[in-house]
Amino acid sequence: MSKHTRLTPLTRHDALDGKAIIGDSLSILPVKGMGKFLLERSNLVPDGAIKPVGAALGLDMPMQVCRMARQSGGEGIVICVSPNKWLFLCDETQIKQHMGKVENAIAGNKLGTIAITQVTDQYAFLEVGQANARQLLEKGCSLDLHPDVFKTDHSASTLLAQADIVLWRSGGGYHLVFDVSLCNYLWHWFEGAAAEFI
Amino acid sequence: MLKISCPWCFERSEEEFVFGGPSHLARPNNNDEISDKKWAEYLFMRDNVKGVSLERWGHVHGCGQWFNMARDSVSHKIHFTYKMGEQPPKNWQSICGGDDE
Repeated sequence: MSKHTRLTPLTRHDALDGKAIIGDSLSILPVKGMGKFLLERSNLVPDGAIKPVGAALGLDMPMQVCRMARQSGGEGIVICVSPNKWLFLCDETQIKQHMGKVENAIAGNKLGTIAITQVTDQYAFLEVGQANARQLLEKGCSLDLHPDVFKTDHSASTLLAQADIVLWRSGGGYHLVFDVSLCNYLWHWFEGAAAEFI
Repeated sequence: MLKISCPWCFERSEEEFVFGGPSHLARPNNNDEISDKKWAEYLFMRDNVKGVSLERWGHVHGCGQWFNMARDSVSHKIHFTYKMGEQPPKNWQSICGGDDE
């Protein structure tokens, strides 16, 4: 009889611990210590009720899907993943402080519902860098990732090897977050896809 | 790979989308009076259009939004997409007609 191992949410969260692919032209590294939370609104909530969130966090709130903004003088970023949903990433030690700021900024809203949900342990975070990063991602992602099209600070909710991810580009390379339940699957995919570049 | 233009995310590959049936179906609001037959027609009966029809599609592996699409069921040509809650142009049938490739 085969032995089955039960995977709990915590074991899935640790699935990327100690993992790294580092070569001359490619690096894939898990990013630890980032806090994440979602801001979601119902259709009744106007843009005007969301924009003060940007001022509270020191950034221009991106209202266009597939765009992101960076905190001035901070490490935090916000990604507009859908017309009614934003993903915030910041240092894990500052997440309560930032969530409090967002809560205050939306406190005056009387139309519809706005929800803030901490999802730090729900999403894993990977950084893919170096010269072959784009070629690697294009093996499993149908987006045109050419720098003229997918520019710095562009983002997208899309599929990588049939797995849902949120992808964005910074000066240093590509970053992606995905559900922790996909850690093992996606890491195996990365190991196979990266073999030719290492 | 077929590209579909999501009204929010613009052009994406077909694998990110799902089909959701015909658009602009009016849900009967006289629940107490309507017959079972009429309910069944609303729930289950669909036109099997040969040619251009208005359909709902969901960008489920992207922004998660539903939208409308004018698509030719024969050639699979996508004429235009528009957001949920909006109406197609009044002359949409003439816009879509006569230019099948």
